[in-house]
Amino acid sequence: MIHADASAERLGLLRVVVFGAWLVHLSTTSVRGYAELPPELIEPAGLLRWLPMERIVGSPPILVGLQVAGIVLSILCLLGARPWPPIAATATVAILWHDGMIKSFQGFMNHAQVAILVASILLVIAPAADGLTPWREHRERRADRQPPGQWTYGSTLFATALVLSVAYSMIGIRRLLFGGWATFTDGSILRWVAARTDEYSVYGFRVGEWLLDLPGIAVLLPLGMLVVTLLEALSPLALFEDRFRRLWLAGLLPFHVSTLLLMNIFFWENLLLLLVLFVAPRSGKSEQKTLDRPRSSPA
Amino acid sequence: MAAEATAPHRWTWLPRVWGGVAVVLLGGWLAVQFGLVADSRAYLFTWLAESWVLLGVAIWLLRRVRAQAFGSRLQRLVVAALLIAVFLGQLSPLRGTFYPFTHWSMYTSPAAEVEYARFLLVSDGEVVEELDISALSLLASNRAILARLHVLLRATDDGDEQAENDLEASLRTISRFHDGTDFDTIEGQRCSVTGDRPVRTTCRTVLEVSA
Repeated sequence: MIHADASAERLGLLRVVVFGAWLVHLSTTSVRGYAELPPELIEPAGLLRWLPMERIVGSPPILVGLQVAGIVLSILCLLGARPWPPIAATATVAILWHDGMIKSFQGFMNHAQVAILVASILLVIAPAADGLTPWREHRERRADRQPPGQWTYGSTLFATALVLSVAYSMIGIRRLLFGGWATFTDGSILRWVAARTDEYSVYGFRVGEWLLDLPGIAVLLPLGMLVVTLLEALSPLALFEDRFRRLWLAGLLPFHVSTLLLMNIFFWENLLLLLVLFVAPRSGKSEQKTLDRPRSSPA
Repeated sequence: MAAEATAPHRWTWLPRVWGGVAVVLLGGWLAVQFGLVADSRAYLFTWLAESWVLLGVAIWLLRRVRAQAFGSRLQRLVVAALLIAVFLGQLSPLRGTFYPFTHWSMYTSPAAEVEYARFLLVSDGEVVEELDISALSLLASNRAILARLHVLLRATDDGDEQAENDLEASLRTISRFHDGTDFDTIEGQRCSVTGDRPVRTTCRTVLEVSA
């Protein structure tokens, strides 16, 4: 299993990535713009149905106040401020509000940002402020916290990786079962690439347009999609098998870059999570090998 | 001690039962693939197959994950609750019920025709620029907002007046936050991509909104 004996720094890195991503989202959203959209567009989901959404969204000072609170709390979390659990829990509530408010205007709840949302929930109950923090006394705490071979820091990293791998697996399984063979054989991917290249995007890459003119692309693109789908479906294996994890990363990391270049779709938060959670995790094997190796007796 | 060592694992029958049902569902799924079952029964079969496969993933994980990986009882409970929520979010036919646990699906159904919307800023009869949806939110969900505008544009095209009013108000709001060239009209177009070698794109104007 990955992340046995993970360090406080690795968990700190997850904290920085997760709350850093939320900081980017919070600070690049114009909540005043959302306040001016027609309230008829609001379709709250889940727990948000219980809130007076229209009244909150219709009040720009409240919205801006919540956004500023979210930004300040995210910065505190990014730095690893203490007391960690209440600060992280309040930040996660502010983040959940922000994400839910934006998604209420979409008319449907997509899975973008769900992985970092789940990660922030998991970080609330973790000793996530022990590593990668400017406060010296926080760093010193960790020395007596993790006895060798324990999962003090690794359990949150493993749990986040577990949820993320299950989510990837769900996408792959759904595409294989609901889409079936036709998804990979009827040229759908070519039409998706053409549409996503041509429609509005903040990224504006037009590589897809050029690629669609290449010979053999009608075979290569669906084949690549099938390979990525199979890797996605098998994602939970990456938690346990090192060889598969390397193969999986070799497929999924370029896949995330290719969806940006070909379709202007970029799950940069998931890409960062893949790097933090699955690249060179300490699985405890090296430490175990050292312990198992017979000590050479002094001559 | 010896009895303990030789006692069979309590859950060894589970993978066999799972495998047996999976074979039956695979048969149903193949029938759907070959067009022998269609419409709501096809959906039900596929949904059952998906649920069963996900159950298999959950069983496999339960057998592989060591309990000591999760230090405290609280952490075990939180992880278990999150995983259950993730599964429910995926399998629930009511989208958004379990928000923030939603469907994980992207490009999961083949599409003979792919549609999208385009909103162009027009000045003196000339298209000067495309409306910048990211004026609302730079990174999060501007594609999803575009999808919402697309839904409203389709409804407008079908004669839904409420949708047309909402769309016009939304476009005016977004254009106020647009930091670009002057324009006098926003043109809403429905575009369609068909074929494969080559793909063909056609667009037609559905709506014109004055600035």
